[in-house]
Amino acid sequence: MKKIENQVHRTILYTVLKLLLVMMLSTFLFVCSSGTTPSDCTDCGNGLIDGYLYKKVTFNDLAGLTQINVSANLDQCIRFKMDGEDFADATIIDDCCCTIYN
Amino acid sequence: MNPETDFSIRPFLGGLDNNFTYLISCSRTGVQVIIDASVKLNKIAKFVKYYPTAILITHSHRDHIYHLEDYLKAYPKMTILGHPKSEIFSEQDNFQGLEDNQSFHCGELKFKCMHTPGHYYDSICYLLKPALFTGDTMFVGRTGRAVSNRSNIKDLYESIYNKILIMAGNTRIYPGHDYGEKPSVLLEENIKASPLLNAKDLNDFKKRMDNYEKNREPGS
Repeated sequence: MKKIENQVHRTILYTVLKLLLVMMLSTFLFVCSSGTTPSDCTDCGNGLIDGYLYKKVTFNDLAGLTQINVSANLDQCIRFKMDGEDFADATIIDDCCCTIYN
Repeated sequence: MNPETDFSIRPFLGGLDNNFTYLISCSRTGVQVIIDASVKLNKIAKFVKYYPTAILITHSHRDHIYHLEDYLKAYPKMTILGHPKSEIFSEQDNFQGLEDNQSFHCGELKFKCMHTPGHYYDSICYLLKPALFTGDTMFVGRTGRAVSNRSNIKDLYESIYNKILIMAGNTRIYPGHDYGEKPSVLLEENIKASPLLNAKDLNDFKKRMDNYEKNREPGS
């Protein structure tokens, strides 16, 4: 009888531990996924003063970006420099940068 | 890249006293900068293609920074460039003070900052050859005035005569107000037209300025 009671206690203990683990993991994932708010968006380069601009890629940009060997998708955020009608330089960056510099 | 580049200057008239705000766009790089926050943002916003790189302040008189808060709400990452002693910007994180004769680039546009005190202690002219943005230091047809608190007529004389009038005659003056017969003028034309730009020395300049103040019509 005592053996059965011990087994029940262990099962309850394991269940509680599993629940705790799931809660901790969920909390961790939530914190990580909400880490790219504009205030934490720090990887946008040196900002504007050095002549770089920011925009989301449009259909009209795709050919120009291909010419400078940048393979970007529509609506991706890029940090770029222009030379007349052409891109002189472009880097794909985090979308949060286009939220800041839009 | 060649640092010399084409640019366009779009003036916007408005503000508290026929002020100008200028939007300068680099034709090659698309970089845009604003000079003075005198005119309502909605007037210029539709001409802003990308995020403006910087706003250049000619001096901290109220009419030249009247809409700065709105500009910074719209473009909080824009750098404010002005006189290092302008107290009004001392708590702005994105303010950078410019020293006299300091050159700086916004994209490929090469500017030179010239401290030109006189009309106000923190007056600056910005040279983007061949354009000179003079704020209230020089207008079409005359110099700025030196009648307000922290003005200094001797400083104004030295700024005008030792810094601006020695520049090339084809320098085009873009003033901070639309007070003249036209919105901008070549320096050589301005010298021909204005008695205030033809003084022999400081005393003569003071006399000419007194004469101007006596005969001045409000708003001119």
